Amino acid sequence: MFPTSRAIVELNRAALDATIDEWSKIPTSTTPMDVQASEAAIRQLYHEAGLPSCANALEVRFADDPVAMVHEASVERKAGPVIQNRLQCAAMVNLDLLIDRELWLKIHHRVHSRFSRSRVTEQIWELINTETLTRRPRPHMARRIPDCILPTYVTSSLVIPDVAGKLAGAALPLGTQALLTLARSCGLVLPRQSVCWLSERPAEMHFNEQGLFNHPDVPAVRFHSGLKFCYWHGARVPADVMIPRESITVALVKEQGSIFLARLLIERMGIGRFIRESGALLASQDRTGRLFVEPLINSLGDQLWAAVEVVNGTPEPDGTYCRYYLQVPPQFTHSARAAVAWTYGLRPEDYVVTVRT
Amino acid sequence: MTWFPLLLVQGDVMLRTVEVTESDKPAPDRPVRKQKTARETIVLARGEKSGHAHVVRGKGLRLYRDPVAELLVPSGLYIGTLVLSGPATLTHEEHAAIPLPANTTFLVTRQREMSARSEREASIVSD
Repeated sequence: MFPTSRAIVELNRAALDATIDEWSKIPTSTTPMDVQASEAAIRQLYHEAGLPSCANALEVRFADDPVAMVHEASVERKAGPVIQNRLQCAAMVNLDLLIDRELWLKIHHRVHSRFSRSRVTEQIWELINTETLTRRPRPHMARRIPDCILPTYVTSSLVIPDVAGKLAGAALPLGTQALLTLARSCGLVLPRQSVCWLSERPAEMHFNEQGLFNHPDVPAVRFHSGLKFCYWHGARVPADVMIPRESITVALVKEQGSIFLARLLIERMGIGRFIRESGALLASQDRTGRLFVEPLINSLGDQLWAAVEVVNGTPEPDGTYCRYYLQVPPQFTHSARAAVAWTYGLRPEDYVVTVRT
Repeated sequence: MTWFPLLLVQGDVMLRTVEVTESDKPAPDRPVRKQKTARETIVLARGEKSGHAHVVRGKGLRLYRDPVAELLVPSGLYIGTLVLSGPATLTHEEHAAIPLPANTTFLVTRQREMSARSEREASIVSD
């Protein structure tokens, strides 16, 4: 008999949430691929899709990183067509067969309210697309790279069946189980008819608060193969600007041919230090703060850089007041109040503070 | 919606009083997320590095997201609409506490700075 919606109350809610939390961590996992489990799962999935899955008919290859995987898969002539859609269909599960609709709705709501979707996969896709742009896939892989990759990346569509299966105490279809195993045990999967590539996960990843690749000092993404990429708040940056912070100079900032790289170097060296060492102009000063401006790249025209210095409303334990700096759009060259108001999303005339601590 | 000139800033979090008029009250079909049960402690924001938090303490606190109010502030800054039925206090480990008057509705927002990527992008300040 199917469990009803009341069952979810009776079941251990902590265990349910633990399962959801476990899935939330998988996309950022740097655990090396479980080769045996991954290979068994992909052969099972081929089998469920009605495709030859024995060792003679299906070769499973392992790549050290997804860029190498896509490159190898795109130049392989004898592997047959990309079949990710077929495998995906074999893994789909009809939850109506497992649980009643009311319980499904409760699980759906719980997963969506607790499960935080990672942005890792879309960023890896973008990375792969950029890296393989010069190596266009052969005609048999003419589709966009993401369309060739099996969706083992973790979304709520994978979490819900797993949670529902556990709650219902019912075994999921073998195809679904295989897909869940792949999601847990390896990186991206690129399946073609007679060869399937499984790639390693990154060995190291760093993120900012928004879940974007980011690290100020070391590559934000690194694979065991040695492939590594530097990112600054989700944007790819050349490795040569990621020099030690103390080595960054005002001259180096102004040498950059891109306003983005110049701002990045300023953020890395510290806005306060840049203001001091560049002799930035104090353009405006009032009760809200001090506005500094500095021309950045003369060769590309009048590119102004602006930042506002704000003093904390509460003193430190030693009685001093901490200052901090915020970069603002360069149109704020006339008023510190306008710049500070912008940081709070207000017009200058609306920024009339009653209490500030 | 009418704005009263009560504007409270605690580091990177701002509270603005808001008067809810009859015309502003949600229509039955307006998709306002259901208000949660009144609580005595609500964490408005937590620092990315320090872990320090802006916390409201009082009785009868409610925080909800109003999609219409969200449109009034730049993208990403809106934390929620805070409803106080009794007096409360906004606290933080590194900032002096701010007393909040009873029977008040606040629009709670965060602070931003220009992103290095583009003048059109902003990143949220998180102290």
